[in-house]
Amino acid sequence: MLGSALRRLLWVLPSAFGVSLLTFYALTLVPPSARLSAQERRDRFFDLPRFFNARPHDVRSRTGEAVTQIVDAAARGERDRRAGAVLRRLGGAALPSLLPGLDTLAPEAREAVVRELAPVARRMSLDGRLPDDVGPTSVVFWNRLWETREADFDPGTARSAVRRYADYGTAARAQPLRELDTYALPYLFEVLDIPERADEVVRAQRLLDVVEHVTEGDGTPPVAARRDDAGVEATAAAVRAWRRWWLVHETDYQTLVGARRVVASLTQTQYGKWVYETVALDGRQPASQTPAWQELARRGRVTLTLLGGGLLGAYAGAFVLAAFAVVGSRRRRWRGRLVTVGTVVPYIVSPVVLGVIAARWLGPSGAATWGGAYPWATLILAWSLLAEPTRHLRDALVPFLATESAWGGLARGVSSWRLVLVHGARGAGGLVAARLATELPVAVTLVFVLERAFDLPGLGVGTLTAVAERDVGWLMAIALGGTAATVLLGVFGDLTHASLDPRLREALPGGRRRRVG
Amino acid sequence: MTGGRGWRRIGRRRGTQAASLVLAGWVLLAIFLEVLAAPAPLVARGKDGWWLPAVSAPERFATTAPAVVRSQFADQNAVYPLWPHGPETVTEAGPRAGPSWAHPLGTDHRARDVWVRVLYGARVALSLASLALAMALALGLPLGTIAGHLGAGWDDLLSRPLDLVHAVPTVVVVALVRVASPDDSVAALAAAIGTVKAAEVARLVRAEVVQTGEEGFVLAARALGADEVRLLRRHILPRAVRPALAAIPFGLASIVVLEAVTAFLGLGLPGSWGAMLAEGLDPSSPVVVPVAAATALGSVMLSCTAFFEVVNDAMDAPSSSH
Repeated sequence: MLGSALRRLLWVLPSAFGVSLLTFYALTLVPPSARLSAQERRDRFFDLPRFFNARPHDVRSRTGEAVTQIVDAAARGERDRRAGAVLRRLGGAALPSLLPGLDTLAPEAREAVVRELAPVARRMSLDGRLPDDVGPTSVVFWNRLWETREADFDPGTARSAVRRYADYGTAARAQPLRELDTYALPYLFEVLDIPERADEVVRAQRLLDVVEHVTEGDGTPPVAARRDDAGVEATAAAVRAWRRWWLVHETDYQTLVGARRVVASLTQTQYGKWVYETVALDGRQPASQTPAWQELARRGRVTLTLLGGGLLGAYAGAFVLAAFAVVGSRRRRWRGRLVTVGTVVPYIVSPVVLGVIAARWLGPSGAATWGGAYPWATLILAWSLLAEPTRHLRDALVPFLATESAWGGLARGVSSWRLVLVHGARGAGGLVAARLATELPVAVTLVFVLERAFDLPGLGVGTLTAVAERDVGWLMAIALGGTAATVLLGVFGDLTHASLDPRLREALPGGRRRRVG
Repeated sequence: MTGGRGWRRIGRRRGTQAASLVLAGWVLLAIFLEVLAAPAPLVARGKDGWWLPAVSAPERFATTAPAVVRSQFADQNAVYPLWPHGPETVTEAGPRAGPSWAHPLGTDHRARDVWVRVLYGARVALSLASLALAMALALGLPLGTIAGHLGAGWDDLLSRPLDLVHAVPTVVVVALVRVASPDDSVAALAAAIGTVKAAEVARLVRAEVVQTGEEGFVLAARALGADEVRLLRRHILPRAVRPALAAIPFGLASIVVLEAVTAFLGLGLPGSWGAMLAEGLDPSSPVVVPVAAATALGSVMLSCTAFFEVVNDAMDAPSSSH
């Protein structure tokens, strides 16, 4: 039985993955607005393919493109300022793929390229050594620089320089990082953690200083909190914003080769970026700007309270009603009819109508309080969900009362109620528990309706807001949460059913079989 | 029970007759709505001959005042419907008017005729429900048959995605579709609801196909050399699709409710009964608006459920899992 349950639980993973893929596909079907600028498109990952990136861009490919454009423009006697700006932005990270091949270019092309590198040299604090004229001497300067500094542009060296600076930040330790320029960025973001305590603020600020210097505040985050008097919250916000910036631009400063390239074909996609942002970057809900998971937890409490109360009420009520309908049903047929009418009414009238009536009756003042809205919403939900379990329990209890064991119990003086609620409910309860998972999607829909009717701050209202704001993260979380809950409830229901019914326990794979003979 | 005798038995039941009458009434209303209520004349004779403004260009007159419409058709031989205004027409009776022959249920807070809104709500609900149901059957029947009959790998391959679709609450699926297709597209909404319902149909059919496939007469037919296609066509499918067909009225009802729920949440189509129910939350809206929508919704639910129960009992089919 345990093996069967584990197998079912393991299905949650592929199920969740499948739902997230389908959901993401549906949510990204609408093309982005044509009014978005190139940078806005990039910030929202619209420049990336949806699920698979066959040719992910990296610093080498971007450098190659920029150099080609600069060289082509030079051949026409022009200067391509846009490509120059790209090269300047790529900075030190571009040098390992640019400088070794500099001599292979034509003299005019070489000079055009080193002209665009001049601002990079200034950023690297090398301008004192950089010749004033843009010509052969500048080319020689960059060639010599590469001969002497090539060993510094190495992942191990850069990483240890960053760690030394992060731990014992001094101006002397900052200089090597400035000389590495954007080449140090991947390693800076490796150690740039979101500060949680006051003593971590200085370290984060120190690292942000270098990041801002080498990127020249490229797309400076709007919440950049600077200087020493900044608090934990402000610095954390700045770090979060810079990490978001890094999520968008990381491949501009990294070389993708081998396994990293294979991984990048999956991660450098809209789906990959969304997953990372949600899981690692604590994605924010657009409406409240609070972390999405925090908002989910807050609203989830309301929804789960209603859901739990409603299901519990429905199943408890179903037991009582089914027993009421079944006990003495031969003489008192009206009981069965009464129960049928009582359970069918909310179905016919619809919970939407019941919710509207109750909400209108309670009015705006009483709707959002525990005394007013919550009990009513729970009651309506329980009543609306009553029909199915009651019907199944009745169907299961009627044959039970016709069994020899039931007749035997009655002959020994056991009351009909005791017989039904204690002995009959055991088998029937398992059957109904197994159906719990199939009820959940319906129950969730009803909870959303009641939240809207009573204006309760639950997941339903949050979802409606998310639809209005196209909040992909929220909708995805709701879809995934709903799927996982249904699968888990299914397992729970089956286990309950099996634990109450020994025949099923034996029939399940891995179940203990009684030996015969 | 043989098919013909079963249907005759169903037809003789009083419950079926009453439910059929109500359902047929709503369906006829939804189809021939313009005869009863429309913002433009049903028939008019213009310069180019006879035309049907209410059917061919209703959107042109959707929000035009009735007096303006009458003046536009003053020189044409126009035949008006019984109630000459649409669901969005601001009537001359003014807001919150009481019941009268011109406005049997009065008007709402924006002076729209409540009765006409209810009638148009029926068209929205039933057209969406029919489309979604047709889609669910078209998808669910073959998928359930394949999964149940071919078994093993095919069963796993098809059943797991179906379970997946079934596990996501429909309202979430509709929310996703609303984000993906922000315009009020009936087809998109019907596709979303139809896909979820297809999973239910497929599960039902699959279970029946598996059960029927193990029956003695199927084994005998196979032993006599019947090929798989013949087995399916002659022996398995006629029995296996019966519960799915019996559940059609129930499916229709559940989709009508779902449509109302989505509209109530603001995710559905305009003019729906759900939107009228949502107006009930606004204290300035007259009570008659949600009451009328609730009554209409209840009558469809009651007739569909009664029809389903009678058909289900008569056909002796197992209950659906709704």
